[in-house]
This record gives sequence, C-alpha cells and structure tokens, in this order.
Amino acid sequence: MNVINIAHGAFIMLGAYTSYWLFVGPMHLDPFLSIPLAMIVMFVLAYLIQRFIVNQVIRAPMLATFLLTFALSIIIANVAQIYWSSDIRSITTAYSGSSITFGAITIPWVRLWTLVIAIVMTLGLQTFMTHSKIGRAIRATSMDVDAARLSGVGVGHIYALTFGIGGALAAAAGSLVSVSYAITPNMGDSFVVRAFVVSVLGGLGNVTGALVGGLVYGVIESFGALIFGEGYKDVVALAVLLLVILFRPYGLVGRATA
Amino acid sequence: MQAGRRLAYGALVVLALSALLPPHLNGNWVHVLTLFFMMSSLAQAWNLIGGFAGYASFGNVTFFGVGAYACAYAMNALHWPFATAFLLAVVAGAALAAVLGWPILRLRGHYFAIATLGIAIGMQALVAELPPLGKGSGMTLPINSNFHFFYWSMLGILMASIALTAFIAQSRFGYALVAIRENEEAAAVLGINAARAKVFAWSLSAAITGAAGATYAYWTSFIDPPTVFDLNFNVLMIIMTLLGGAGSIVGPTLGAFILSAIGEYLGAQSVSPWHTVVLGAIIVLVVVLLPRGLMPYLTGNLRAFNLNALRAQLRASRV
Repeated sequence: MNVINIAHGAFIMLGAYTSYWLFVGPMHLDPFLSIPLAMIVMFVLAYLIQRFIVNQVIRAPMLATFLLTFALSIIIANVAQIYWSSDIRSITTAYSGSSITFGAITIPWVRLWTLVIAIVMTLGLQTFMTHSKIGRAIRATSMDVDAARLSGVGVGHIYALTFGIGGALAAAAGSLVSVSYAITPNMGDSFVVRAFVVSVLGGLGNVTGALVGGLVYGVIESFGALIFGEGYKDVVALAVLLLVILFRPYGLVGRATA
Repeated sequence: MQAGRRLAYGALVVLALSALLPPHLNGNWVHVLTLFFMMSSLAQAWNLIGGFAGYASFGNVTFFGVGAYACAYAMNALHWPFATAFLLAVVAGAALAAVLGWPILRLRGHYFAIATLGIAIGMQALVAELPPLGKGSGMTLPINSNFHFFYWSMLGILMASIALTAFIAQSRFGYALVAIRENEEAAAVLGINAARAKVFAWSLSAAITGAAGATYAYWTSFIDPPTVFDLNFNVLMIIMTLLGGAGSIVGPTLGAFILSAIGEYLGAQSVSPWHTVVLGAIIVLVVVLLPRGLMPYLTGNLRAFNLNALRAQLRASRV
C-alpha cells in the first residue's frame, strides 16, 4: 500500500500486552487463546488511526507517512511506559518448559505452535488477498488509487481496512512472541527493522514472499552469528538487506514488473 | 528565493553576534545553545540531500557516528590534535557518503529510506564489534572543559553550513538538485548528471554531519555506539527541517530553534516519557498541517496563514 508503518513494532507491543493482561487478569486466558481478542482490539485501533490520521497525508510524499507513523510509534510506546511502567514482564504457562524432541533437535512446544499459527495466518491472508472481493479492492487501490476509486472502491475505507489487517496481524505476532520473549514498552523496536528486512527479502506487497523472506532471514541471522560471532548477526542481516535492495528490489521470489 | 537569501544573511548576522555571548552566560545556557547549534547544523546538512535533492535519508546519523568515532580514534589512539582529528572526521564522513551513495542513491522512495535506515543500524552494530573502537563499551577522549570552545566550534559549523546552503541555492548545482527533486528524468534530459549531483550533495551533507559528530565527541569526551548512532538524531534532523521548510536556506535552523525552545520549556534536561509524547504530537501536527514548513510564510511566498489554502492542501493529500 506504499505506507511504511514504523508503528508496526508498537502494535506488536500492544498485542503482547493485551495477551499479558488477559493472562494475569481474572480470566487467566491462555495466550494462544487470546490471539483473536488481541487481533480484534488492534484491528479497530489501527483502522481508526489510518482512517482519521494517516489517510490525511496518504497522497503527500512518502516521507510524510513515514514520519507520521514514527510519531505514532513513539507516542504509543511512551504512553505505554507511563501507564504500565518499563518493568519487564513475561508470561509463564504450565507448558512453557515442555518441548518435543526429533533425534538431536529439541523444539519448545510454544515455538512449534508459533510457527504453525504463522504459516496458517500467512496462507489465510494470501487466500483472502487473492480470492475475496476486499482483497481485490486492496490490490487495486495499491496499484492505482484513482482507477480504483473510479471503479467504485471506497479507497479511504480500503486503506483503513488494510492498515487494520496489518495491525491485527501485528497483534497476533505480539501475542505469539509474548510466550517466548520479555514484554516491555520498547519491545517493538527490534521487530520493526526485522519486519522491513523480511518484507524486502520477500518482495514488498508479496504475502507468501514474506514467509519465504522470514525463513531466509532467520537462517541468515543464525548462520551469520555462527560464522562471524553473535554480535555480527545484525551486520550480516543488514548487509544482505542492502544487497537484495540493490540487485533484487522485487524480492527473492518475486518477478520484476514494469 | 531572494527573500530567503535576505533571511539567511540576517540569520548569519544574528549568529555572528551570538559569538559575543558566552562570557555573559551561565554554563547551562552555553550548553543549551551549543546543542542548538549542533542540531541546527545537522538539520542544515540533512536539508542538502533531503530538502534540495528530495532524497529522504534516514542514514545521516551514520555520518555523525562515523565522524565522532574518527575523531575519537585519531585523538585517543593516534594522539592527534583536535584540529587534524576534526579534518579526518570531515573527510571520513564525506568519503563514506560518496562510496555508499553511488549504489544507494540509485534507489528511490521506500527503498532509499529503508536502505539508509539499514546502513545506520548496520553501522552501529559494526562499530560495536570492532576492537580498535572499543567494541560496544565506547571510547574516551581527552577532557577539555573549555566549554566556550565548543560553543564557538558548533557555531562556526552552523554558520559555515548556512553560508554553504545560501551559495548552493543560487548555483547551477543547487538548481540541478531542485530539478532532480521535481523530476529526475526531466533533469537527466536537460543534461544534468543526476548521479554525480546527488552523490556530491550527500557528501557535503555528510561532511557537515561528520564535523558536528567530531565536535560532539570531543565535547562530551565519551562516546559509545547507541549515543552517536541514535536514530532519534536522524528523526530530529528531518522534523526540524520540515518544520522550518525543506529546501529553504535557513528553514532548518528556524525549525531547530523552535523545537529546541519547546524542548527547553518542557525541561529537556530530564527526558520524560511525556516529553517524548509531546514531540510525537508536534511531528503529527507538522506533517499534517505544515508540510511545506514555516519558511513560505516568512519569505512572502504564502502571505498569511490561509485557512482556505490549508483546506485545499489537505484535500489534495488525503484519500
């Protein structure tokens, strides 16, 4: 949609906190079960943000939306810090420590389920984008706003809907990482840049490409750490990002268009 | 642009007079003004590539960090005097921008923004791993407690960057950059070597940024990667430039002045979460309501605050 959402990390953080509060609250909801609730909450919030704020500058140069979402991100993170403090929180479930062993490989159950849910969501999003009417409208708006509007697409609503879906997926990601990682108001920062790298690796606007990009990135980061040392993993990952942008700007699996 | 140049000369006179201030100020005000000169220089430098050429760099803070580290390494390990260490930082910044610029400045829009952001983060991670640069634990520099020296140094960098911008704005080179911003293909058809102009603009921008970084390193006498590669510096450069007016001559300094004054009023010494929330709100308001910045109002291109013009501009940018 040609909007770079720096606030994506803040949405991930809010998703993680939603799961946290539902877990420690009287309902004591399992973090995997709170995913749909976190998604609904963040869908609504992201929809409103796009509809009433970001849509105001969507046709202005790219820098405007970039800065706007950056501003929203620092506002959200700092308000979270004011109300929830910067204490590090974590979710420990009864099954947190259990894992499954295949030969020499041991995988924690929570990580395995995270992977499964991520794959299901990606495939679901892909199907939605290619086969539903809204998905078609989203792709049409992304290609040409004016042509989409002339074809009867309510582009303001579509932009907001797309941002809402992005927010809902960020919330799902937040709920998923809440079982494996520490939860803090600034936890989103480390995910934003990775989300960029993964999207570019997969090709911007390519849903299944993002899954491939994510897998490739994970492997590069781990092997980079193994070969050059733990501290170099970011350097390696960002060097790969630059090479991909320069030589395959349409992503690893995409095709060059226009 | 004529009115813009007159404002620039006026600003230079005011800044030159401010060189007389330090003996009459207490330490806190010297510190505040030195920081203001530094942020203005960074914004002026960003304006050359982001405002004139229209390439929104999220990686300019890289040159700040590289300049700071070049200065620290030269003074700490090579025992150079500050003057030569400073020159090394300027050259290092400009050279890095030239090397990175050739491939990176071919990218546009999102790709350029993400690539420069990647460079800034990657360079921070790289510096944090290099043993001669103290790895992640930072470097110390010789202590110089003559804070008036840093006041005058930063002031000098700022005045040089404003004078340079005023010169560029009326030169063939400046017109070439504006042509590239408005329509790069058309500029190329007119015979402008766009690649060379962009790389040169980024190198100048990086040289100023490196100079500010070197002075900052000597001023604080301790640097570490998270401080000098702080992405918030980059965001502040951009928002100060936008607030004043991107592509104008002294707009960035005006924006820096307003944001610094607001920050000072809110108590910038203790960075509280509320302070950051207010900064975020200011960014939202500037981006939505003042996309061309304040300068057009001062130079007479837009006569007064005009509600109808604002409405028309909002209609054009929203969906």
